[in-house]
Amino acid sequence: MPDPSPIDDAELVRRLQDGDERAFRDLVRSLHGVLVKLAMAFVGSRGAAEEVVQDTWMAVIAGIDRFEGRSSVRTWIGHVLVNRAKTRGARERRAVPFSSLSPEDEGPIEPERFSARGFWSSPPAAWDRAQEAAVLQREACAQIERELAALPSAQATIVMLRDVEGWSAEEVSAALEVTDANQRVLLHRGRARLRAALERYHSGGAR
Amino acid sequence: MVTCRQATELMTDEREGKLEGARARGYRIHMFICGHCRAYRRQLGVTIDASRGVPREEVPPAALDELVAAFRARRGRPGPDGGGGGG
Repeated sequence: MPDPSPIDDAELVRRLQDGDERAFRDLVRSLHGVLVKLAMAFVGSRGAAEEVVQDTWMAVIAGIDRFEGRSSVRTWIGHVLVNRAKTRGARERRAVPFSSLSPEDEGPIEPERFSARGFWSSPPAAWDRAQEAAVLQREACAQIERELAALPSAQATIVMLRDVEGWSAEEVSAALEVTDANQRVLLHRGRARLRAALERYHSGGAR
Repeated sequence: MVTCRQATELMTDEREGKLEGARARGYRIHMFICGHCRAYRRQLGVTIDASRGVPREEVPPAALDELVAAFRARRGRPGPDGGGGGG
């Protein structure tokens, strides 16, 4: 999908401050889905997440004059959302998902695929060109989408922002206030699980 | 000696440009000699490429209209073609 917001941030902010409805509409279209998923990492239900997103857009409309350009627009909006979602999540007594990572959590690859000494005992079968190409087709994308929905929310959120939406590591760190090291661990685990889903897809007879 | 298990754990650090020093050297040597880990790394790359194709969730039209109405009420003036279409 081509980048839906070809204008740069300074121009976008100018248009929003100017009351340009088209610019606002495009911004909502480009960010709404990701904001809902982001909110769902913090709050208990889809309905609560949608309310947080709605509140966030209202705050953006009211606060666009105060945007200082120290981060990207989407990072700023993401950060506004995360603050609101955290408050809401705390009210619901939910743990903050990005701070609860323990290093001894199991790695993303099934341990039985390695020998006791840490070398592959059940190595990955190389994917041939046809299999690599198939991964980019709709069916495989649906597989990824399903696995993404099944990931722990912190992993899913990071993978979605980085790999689906194309945010930079810096943007994600700024929006989520997650450390770089935690971000990399979560990203790695999430990607590894998506890879495993594609591996299952291939071994399920798809060519 | 970096094991396969350790090498797979370092692949995102490598991709993010965060693999340095002795860890980087051990990792590079391992990757040079281990075809399985090279296959795994390649598959991670293919997975990342494939993730880009996951469709974006659309905002429901009613919610979009509501937000645009709020924007209009607060920010005043419609854009060049913001008033078109109606509905």
